[in-house]
Amino acid sequence: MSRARKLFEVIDDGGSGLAGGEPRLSARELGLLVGGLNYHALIQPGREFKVIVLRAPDGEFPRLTGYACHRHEWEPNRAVVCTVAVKSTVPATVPADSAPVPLVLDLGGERAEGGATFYDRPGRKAKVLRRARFGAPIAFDALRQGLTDYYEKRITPNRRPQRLAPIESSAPLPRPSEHGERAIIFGLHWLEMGGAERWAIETIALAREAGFLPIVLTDRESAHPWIVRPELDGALVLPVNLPISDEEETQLLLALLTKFEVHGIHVHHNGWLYHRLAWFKAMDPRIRTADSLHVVEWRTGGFVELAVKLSNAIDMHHVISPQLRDYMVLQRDVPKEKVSLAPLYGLNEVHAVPKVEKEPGRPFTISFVGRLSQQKRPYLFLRYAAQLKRSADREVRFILHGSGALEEETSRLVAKYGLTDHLELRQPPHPVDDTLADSDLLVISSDNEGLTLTTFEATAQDVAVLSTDVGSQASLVSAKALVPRQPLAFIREAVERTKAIMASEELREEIVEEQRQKIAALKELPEARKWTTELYEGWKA
Amino acid sequence: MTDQVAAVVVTYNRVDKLGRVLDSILAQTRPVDRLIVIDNASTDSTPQLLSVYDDDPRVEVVRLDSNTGGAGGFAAGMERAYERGADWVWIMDDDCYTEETALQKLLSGHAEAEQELGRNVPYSCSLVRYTDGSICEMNNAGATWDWGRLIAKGQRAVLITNCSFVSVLIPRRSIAKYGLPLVEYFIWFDDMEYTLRISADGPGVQILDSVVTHDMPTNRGVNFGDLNPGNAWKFLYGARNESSYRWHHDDKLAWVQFVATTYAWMVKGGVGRRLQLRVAKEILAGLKFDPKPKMARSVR
Repeated sequence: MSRARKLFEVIDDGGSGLAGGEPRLSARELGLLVGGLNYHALIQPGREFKVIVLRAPDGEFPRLTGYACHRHEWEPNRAVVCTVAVKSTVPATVPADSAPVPLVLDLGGERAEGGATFYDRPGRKAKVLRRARFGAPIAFDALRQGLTDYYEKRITPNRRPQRLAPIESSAPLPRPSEHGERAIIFGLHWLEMGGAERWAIETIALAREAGFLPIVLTDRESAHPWIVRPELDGALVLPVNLPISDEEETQLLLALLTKFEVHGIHVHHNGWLYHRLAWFKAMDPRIRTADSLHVVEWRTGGFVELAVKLSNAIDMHHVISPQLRDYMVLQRDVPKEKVSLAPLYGLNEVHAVPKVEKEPGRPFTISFVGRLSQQKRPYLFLRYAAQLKRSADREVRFILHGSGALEEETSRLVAKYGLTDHLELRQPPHPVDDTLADSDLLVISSDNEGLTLTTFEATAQDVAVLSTDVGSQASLVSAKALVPRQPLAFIREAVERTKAIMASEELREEIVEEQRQKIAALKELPEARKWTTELYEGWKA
Repeated sequence: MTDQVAAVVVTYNRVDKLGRVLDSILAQTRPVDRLIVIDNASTDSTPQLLSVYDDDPRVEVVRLDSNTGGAGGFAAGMERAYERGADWVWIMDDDCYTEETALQKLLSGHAEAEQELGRNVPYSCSLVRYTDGSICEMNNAGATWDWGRLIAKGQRAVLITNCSFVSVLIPRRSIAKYGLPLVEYFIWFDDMEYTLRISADGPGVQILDSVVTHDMPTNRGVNFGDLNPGNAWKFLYGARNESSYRWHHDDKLAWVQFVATTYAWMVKGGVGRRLQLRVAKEILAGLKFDPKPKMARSVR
């Protein structure tokens, strides 16, 4: 049974599991159903709902809010799993109509991950991109990185988006007297695996620990596999499918403001909520607002650019790296006092493990640890490995540890580059610690990063890290082991530097030592979890 | 949190003056948070002198593998200071004695200028005196057309277009936006190029109450009429660097003016034909020479 906050009472659970018992729905589906029902219960207080619950094939996204819920037909591949009847427990300000509201809630299917990559979308353009991308991954990447360079050097420094004007004056709303519960609103893309989401989920738990009701809004399509996470227990989760009508949006926003005592809004990755911060601040200036920013997206500007544009509606920007702090304050002229640097190293508590003497005479071992995604560029690691294997004068072994969308390409390239006998593929749940314990060098080939947590883990295991010079990697990785992001330059320099490291254990140890020093310096900064706890304490007033 | 100031001193074989320079920096009324000394691979007893400061946690000595010139030294020191998280970098030569309020006055003068001008000021510099108390000819800052704008408002500061690297206070913002001095210049005109580059959004200021003394052998400015076989190496760098800057980053007329003035000075100073030709060669080399600045990385 879902442990999330419910804004309704169950009249007939239809075997769904809403009222307990043997459920027809999985825990994830039940979480989505509760989320969808909460949304409708909130915007139509006091009403009764008769709900048809659909299940879709794998890969299809849920439809829980908006127009789709009010249509009385559905795709032929949707199955009616059950029907439920519920009544909103949100107090109505005017007597509610007693007739039940018919709703159709589509819970989607399994394995529907949000955020399709540029080549994974429908249409002819994506088809061409897909062919180019998988036909010549390195050449295609070289063009992409060239485009990023162009944006980084020519476009981004000259970007001057029109900034939101400051709110000069507004009067606070009266707090709801009876049913108001102290709440913090959170904005996320989705509830699925991701660095920003991992941090968002942590902050939701911190808000609950601080005595707030977390209200969690998502604005992107996803199966939301993390809706079952224990951190969301007791939270009010509203998985919103956009677009919603202006009328529904008004009802939703007003309900949030009037049914709860909203003390703060913390935006992680949620464009919809970002754009409504000014409205919240203008409606009630007592509401405190903050966002958490992770990486600069050179090509699109990303959430960092949005945060700069809307900075006048945001009281505090939390940034996780020195690079982002400098970007916001020095390049984008956001006032220094509005930017707080609090790194996320506490997400994974890293304990130094006793140094294990590596077996003498064993081959030098180089690993890749991370999701097999476009951002991490496993294909580039493989090309580097092939080049190194050809030119190294001693035996070298590779471990590629990870899973993800590029698994098939990765397996194909391992064979194509002749690495089958030299490279071991490992996948979760194989522990990352084991892979690092087997390694001398960790290679990070990503085209963008914030602060990589694997570098913390590698350092604790006495593993040197060689990384692309992206994001704030310079805050963690030795200057001697930073290489360019551009693929051809990456392969050339990474191979040269690896050979130097293989030839000198002293150099390898110097690099690890610099990692340790940099981590120690970072740890002098406030840690994100502690910083956020203090922020929420301040929001209690 | 208070702003962090890192002083950067670049030194090369100047052991007789360096100690006094460092002591004057460490005795500032507004203390520096860090003092980075770039030893440009000195061959005298500089390392022994610097070892005296081993116990001072504020002092960080970086010994380079080879002499990279003033440009390379300042770039290395500023990069180190930036990576260490400095909000301000205060740079100077190894024969520059700072008066004890030099930094305090620079910081307050810089802030007052920014307030009055309503914009960020890219850098501020001190008034540089020679050992006899007169103005140091080598380190005269270039004044803007409206140099008296701040004086009219009661401030002791002059608006300037450029200055030399003798007591210059550079905010982190300028380094983040415009990068580091050009290492490839090696020596001469690196300071002029840098202060001109970082002034893209408006000129810097000279704070008249912030005073330092430049202990040079003679009080003379740069003049191509003084060129001789013994000092030619410096002038040749200067010719190439200024030619490069004027051609690529100023305007072509300024380049023509530079060439004409240089030639006139050499003729006036009786510089021999051979040296004149070498200077001409370097001026031409400047047309192809256009290094790009390295950007500093945010580490802390």
